[in-house]
Amino acid sequence: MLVLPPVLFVAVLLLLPVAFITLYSVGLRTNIPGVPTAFSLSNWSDFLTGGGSAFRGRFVYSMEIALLVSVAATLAAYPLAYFLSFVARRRRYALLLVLLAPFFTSYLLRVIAWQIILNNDGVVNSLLWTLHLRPKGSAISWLIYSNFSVALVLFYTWIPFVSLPIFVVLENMDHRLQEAAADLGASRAATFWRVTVPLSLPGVIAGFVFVLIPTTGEFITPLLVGGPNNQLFGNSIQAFFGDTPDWNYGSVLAIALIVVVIVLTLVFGRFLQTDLRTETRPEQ
Amino acid sequence: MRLTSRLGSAGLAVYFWAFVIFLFAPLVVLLIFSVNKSATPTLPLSGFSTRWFHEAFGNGELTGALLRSIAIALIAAVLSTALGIMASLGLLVLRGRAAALALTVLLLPLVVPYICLAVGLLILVQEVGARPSLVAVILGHCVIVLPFAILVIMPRLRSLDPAMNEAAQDLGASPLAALRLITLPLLAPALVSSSIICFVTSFDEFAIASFLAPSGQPTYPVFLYASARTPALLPEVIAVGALIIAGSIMLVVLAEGGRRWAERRLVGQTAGSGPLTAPDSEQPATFAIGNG
Amino acid sequence: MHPDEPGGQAHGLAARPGTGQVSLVALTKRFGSFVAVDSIDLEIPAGGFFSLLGPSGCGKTTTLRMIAGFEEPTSGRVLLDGQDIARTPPSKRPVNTVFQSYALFPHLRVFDNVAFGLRRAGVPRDEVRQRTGQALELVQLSDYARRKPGQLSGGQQQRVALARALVLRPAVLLLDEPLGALDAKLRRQLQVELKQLQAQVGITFVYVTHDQEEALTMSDRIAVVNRGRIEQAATPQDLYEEPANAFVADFLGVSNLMDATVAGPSGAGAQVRLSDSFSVEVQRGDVACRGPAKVVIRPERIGVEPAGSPGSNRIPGLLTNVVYLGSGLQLAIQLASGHAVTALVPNTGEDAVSAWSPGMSVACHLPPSGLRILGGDPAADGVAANPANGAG
Repeated sequence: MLVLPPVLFVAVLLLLPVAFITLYSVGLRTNIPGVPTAFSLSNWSDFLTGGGSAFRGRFVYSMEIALLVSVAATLAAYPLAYFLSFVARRRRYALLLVLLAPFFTSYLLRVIAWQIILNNDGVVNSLLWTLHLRPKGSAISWLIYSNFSVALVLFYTWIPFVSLPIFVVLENMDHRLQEAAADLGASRAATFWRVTVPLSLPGVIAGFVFVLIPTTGEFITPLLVGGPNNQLFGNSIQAFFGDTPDWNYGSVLAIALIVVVIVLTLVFGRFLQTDLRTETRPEQ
Repeated sequence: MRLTSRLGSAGLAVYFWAFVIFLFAPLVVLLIFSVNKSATPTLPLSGFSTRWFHEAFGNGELTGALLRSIAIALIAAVLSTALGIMASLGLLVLRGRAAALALTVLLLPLVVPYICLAVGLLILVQEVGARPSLVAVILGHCVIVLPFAILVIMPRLRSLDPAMNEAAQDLGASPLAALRLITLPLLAPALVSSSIICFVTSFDEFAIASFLAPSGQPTYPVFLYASARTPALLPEVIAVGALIIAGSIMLVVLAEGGRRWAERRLVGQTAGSGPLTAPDSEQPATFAIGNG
Repeated sequence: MHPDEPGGQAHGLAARPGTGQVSLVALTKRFGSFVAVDSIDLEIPAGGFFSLLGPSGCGKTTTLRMIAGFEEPTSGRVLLDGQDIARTPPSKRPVNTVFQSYALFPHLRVFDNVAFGLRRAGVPRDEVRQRTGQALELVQLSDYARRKPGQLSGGQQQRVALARALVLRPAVLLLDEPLGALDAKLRRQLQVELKQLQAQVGITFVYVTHDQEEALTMSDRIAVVNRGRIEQAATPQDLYEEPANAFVADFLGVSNLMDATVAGPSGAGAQVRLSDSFSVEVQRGDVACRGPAKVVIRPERIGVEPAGSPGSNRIPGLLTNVVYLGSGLQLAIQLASGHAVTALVPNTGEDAVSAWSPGMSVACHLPPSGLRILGGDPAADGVAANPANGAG
């Protein structure tokens, strides 16, 4: 059976690691030599109800940022997708490519670029100095290493990606529906709000979820443009496996994140149906 | 009555192009500062210079990291595309429960956050008594990109008339020969897309590489991250970054153009009226948004 | 035959003498609990045009695929010239298939499509070129050798599929509803061409179709398949004139199936009571049986006469509908015996056509040689017959 090697591959390299993380989170394995291993929920209780309030706080903060970015990106992307599908009829695929092109360049480089732009002596500040709009050397404090920078960069990164499912659903919509509404006397605004938007909702929600789920685990952006108060939950996980190793506690955080993501996927999963068939296959 | 008023259309167009400028601005910033004489990326510009490119490619660590990433990405692309072909062919004949289960497992990497997968692999490496290595990085990358390979290859495979494979065997080809002579050539555009997507994703991957690449053998993103915090290395980083950005954009354009060219060449210039598959319509996405 | 003589091109693709006889012995195919093919026994003689005819889902395609090798039988044997090939992979059987979707290779030119099998068999280059050229000439597509399938029309693609299969000189050629995707006129044209082609090359053709008209036109012999079983295998004429049961009678054209009771002997045939008031003499079919039975008569055998016409075997009736077919008139008649029948009257001119209109009273002449008794349990065939109480 041909499907076995790939399935086993994923099983070994994904399911097995997750299983191990689970074991670490309950103390059944540990990376610290010499420490006895026994089932213990102490790390879990610490994180959920005990002294790990800093991490709970960071967890909440991460969800807030993720939600904010997802909502903003979805709202901002809708007019882009609408433009492509309804206004730019003939060149829409070429323009879609233009919109998506930055998304295919290196993510790290884009974040570094924003660092250059927002930095204390970066493009924005030095531009203001050159134009004498601010005294030289005086930087806008909230521009970098702030909630703003983290949120902005995340928003920037995901916009093209969110546009895609919205575009697809607008494209698949029979545009004659809008014509019919107009035929029946609806104004442009009414047609938009009562026909287009409701029918495009599945795509909108799909785009929203496409951003939300990865952003909850985001950690690269805060590393480069976030300050000490803007680190996200992913950074905490990273710290426990890097700088100050405590693999058991880190595993608790990792499992918590995985659980959240799974819950989100299950809740919103029906909007994410991937259709792997195409319409051109002749049915026998 | 048009769907959008003239003002509305103009407004949307302005919004769109403003956003495009917004999206490309950071990339342009990189391009500009890559040829800026000064070592600090700040305004005003201090003149044109290509010295950073020279310094970058004279920097052994940087070029080493680049080559490492390219090698890893190539291997990961080939490996995951091969696994993707296997998975797609295998899923074609499975039915019902087994198919749904297999597909769920295969697409699981899409859902697991990269940081969690990275630490999980770190644990796994430790548990089997190994040490962080580039092989581990390659395997980790393969897991992440395998879903993309499947999502690209499977629709293409399903759009092929299954009778063609039977016809090939009917005419005397063994199942393997039928795969080689008929199925794979017809899959070619999807295989190319898959390889490119997998390559690009692996090349840019940071989380797994940061944990699994041995110290002293960083991949390019790991090196990039370390350099971004070292002001002295920043201009070289920007220079190489500009090249990569330009290369990526070119790759995207070429890939799309190449895919369309391959489609046309594959099935002849004009479409017939028989029950053959029509050339792929130019749908960019493999997702259909369901209503639940 | 010289290559320049008509049919001479076929010489290079003609069947090897004495090959192509197929026997199916207790052939069964189960998919889980569903029995697609139910222990069928069938003899397909060599060198003829044989059709498997039946409704969708009856198992005819599954049977064909077992002959081709794409389905492995659950039990039973597939014999080709005496050898059991049921376990041989399709690539090794001297059997080739023309698929419903043609299954041409879109990335190969027409020439390479046709040459595919030859190259797989390791045939030397020159011979490949020669035989491929012959095959293309046979289907009149020599000028299209360099095109890709996507550039051909449906009919042309079908011919490429034919050439591709025939060039290998198989013992048997299997065709799975190859004309399904074509429009009516093209279908009729290709039916004639296929029949002629088969006569030219002399290879056994096994043809699957649900179109009874197509089967009747082209075949030397037909097997009518229903729910995995063979209802009857015979020549087209025998199937049409002497159907073995109600299903066959009803599947091949209009049967005018009527519930009746066989009362007793009458001359060379039997006296059949259509209802309390009406009886007819029937000379064909199971004239020896007694009791409830089904009676059939073909529409073209019914004589429609003005009401009150004298003579035996005449039932009064009411003309309920007249359909103008062009070549004739289709008359729907409600008989006084309670049965509804359809009669076919040829278009012999304006007078014949205008003579009939709905609401007229007529007399239906059901000649004894046109009626046929189908014996057995009237309910067994699952075919809705015309009950004599007029509820039909």
